[in-house]
Amino acid sequence: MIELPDIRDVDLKICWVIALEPEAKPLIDLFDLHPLSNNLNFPVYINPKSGHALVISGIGSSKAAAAATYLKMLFNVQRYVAWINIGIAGFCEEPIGQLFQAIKVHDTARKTSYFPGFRLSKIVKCQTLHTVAQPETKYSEAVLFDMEASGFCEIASMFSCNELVFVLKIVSDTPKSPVSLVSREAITQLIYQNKNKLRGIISRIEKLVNDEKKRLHVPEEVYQYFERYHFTQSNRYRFLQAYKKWKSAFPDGKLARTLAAGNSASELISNLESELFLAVKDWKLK
Amino acid sequence: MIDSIFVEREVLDHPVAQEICKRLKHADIFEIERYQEMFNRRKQNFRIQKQNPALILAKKHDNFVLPAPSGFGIDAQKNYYFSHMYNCIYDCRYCFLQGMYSSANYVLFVNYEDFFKAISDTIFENNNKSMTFFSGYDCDSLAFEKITGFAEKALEFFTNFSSVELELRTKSIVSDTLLNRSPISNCVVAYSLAPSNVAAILDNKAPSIDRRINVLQKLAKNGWSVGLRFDPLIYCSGWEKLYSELIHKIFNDINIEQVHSVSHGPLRYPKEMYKKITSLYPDDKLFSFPMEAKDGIVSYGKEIEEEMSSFLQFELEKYTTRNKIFRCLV
Repeated sequence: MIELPDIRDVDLKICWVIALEPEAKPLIDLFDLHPLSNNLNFPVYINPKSGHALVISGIGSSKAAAAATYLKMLFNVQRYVAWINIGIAGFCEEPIGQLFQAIKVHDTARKTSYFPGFRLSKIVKCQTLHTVAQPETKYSEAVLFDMEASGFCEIASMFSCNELVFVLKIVSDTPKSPVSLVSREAITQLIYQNKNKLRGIISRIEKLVNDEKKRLHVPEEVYQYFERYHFTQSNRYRFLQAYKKWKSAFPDGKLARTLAAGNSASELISNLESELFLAVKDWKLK
Repeated sequence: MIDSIFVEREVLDHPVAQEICKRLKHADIFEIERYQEMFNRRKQNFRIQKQNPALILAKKHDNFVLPAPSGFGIDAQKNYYFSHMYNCIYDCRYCFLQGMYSSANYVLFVNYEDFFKAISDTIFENNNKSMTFFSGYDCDSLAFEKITGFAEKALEFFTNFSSVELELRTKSIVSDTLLNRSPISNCVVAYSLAPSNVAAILDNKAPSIDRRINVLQKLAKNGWSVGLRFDPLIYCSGWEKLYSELIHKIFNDINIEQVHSVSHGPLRYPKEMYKKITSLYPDDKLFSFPMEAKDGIVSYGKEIEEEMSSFLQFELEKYTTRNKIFRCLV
């Protein structure tokens, strides 16, 4: 057990939402996750160093949505963070243990579809997934069946963006191997046997997260000016826009030097803009 | 390479959809109800999606032919455009398509027959008026031709309407569709052009300027009318020399008779579109330029626009007549 960290100290990259403890166990091992506390509504595991957090939701679409929300609130998860729902699923054909990325998730009860995730088709097969309220035993269509993904997709894409919400499913039952025969141990084993593939997937997702984080990043030096001077909401936006342009134009520029003469929000903005205007004549595109 | 095709249930059996699925035989196929459920979703990340766009095959139900924005046309009395496809396989940094749609996936409307019906209706409604139809407003007209075969069908269609012009606007060097057939007099193949080193920085995934020039010169030699489109004009240090050299290079080896028209236009965005594009690429130097926002339009500002426009006009008039040069102001 580790102490609840200060949420400002946890720089998350990936949030996992998992229905069952046997599904979570291999990931807890793989990413060296530790339980956060015994007093939480949903069991939460974390590795602050690698930036992975995991919540166990229980079975069902609404619980997946609730657990994702819980994790989001607990850590104030930033919008560049990726969300992954991984678990077992029924499918119409063998082999058991095949890993898929669900790129179309259809909620059969609500007749709504989601199209989650950047497609990782170079490393994992893609498939349609139907989220159902009861375990599917007829395997009536050539799609995967689970009980959580639609609720997860609906909520997680609100916290991040659609392309950073991933649904990964491993075939656990088929018409030849019915769901009633799937044991807790077998579930754990199915996830374990895909660990190398999962490592590859995670590495790709982390790259997307890092790029997105970089795109959205606002450096600390900007906040220092927000604290030091009075900015209206509109000036705060203008300053940020001017700063981004200035930083892109002069990546090695010293902000303190450029803004040394400014004594108000408008003056600071004007200083940034003036420096850009002075550079127009010799403007380079790269 | 396209690895996933989403097909509207309604067009699963459409011959164009079937042909495209056959051409992209390695792609996975997924059924959807309507393209909008995927394409118009909120919270999509265009920049990430652009790394691996999917193809959506859909049916268009209305608005097949639309009036071109004023200032877009060349010299016809009536200018229209049609969009059989949304989005482009290239990733040109200045392109308005990045701020236009929330998705980077490609939508291809496979009911070509309805487009041609709507175009012929428009032609008959405007009897006796000179008309130009622009293809490639929401996509590149030729870049996806090997998959769609649309341009080939459009050319067949327009051979029946010789008094009406078709403009195929492109950066593509896929010219087989054109070179394998005899030219049709009412089709203009219009190339979007920029100085080589500007294009090398901004026209991601698009053919180099040298290759574009080679193809357009080849098309002209084969009897096709070509258009030269310097739009948008990109400002940077030494732009005068860069544009001057580019223009010289193009006109140096082209039969001027085959040059249908030359147009140039400034870099301009509606304010909201500019905001969206710059948030996608905050580190790009194209967008760190201190642009001017006036009347809802973001641009380099009147002074730079006028300077560039006058310069282009002056340079172009060294090689071609004034009546072939147009200034686009969309």
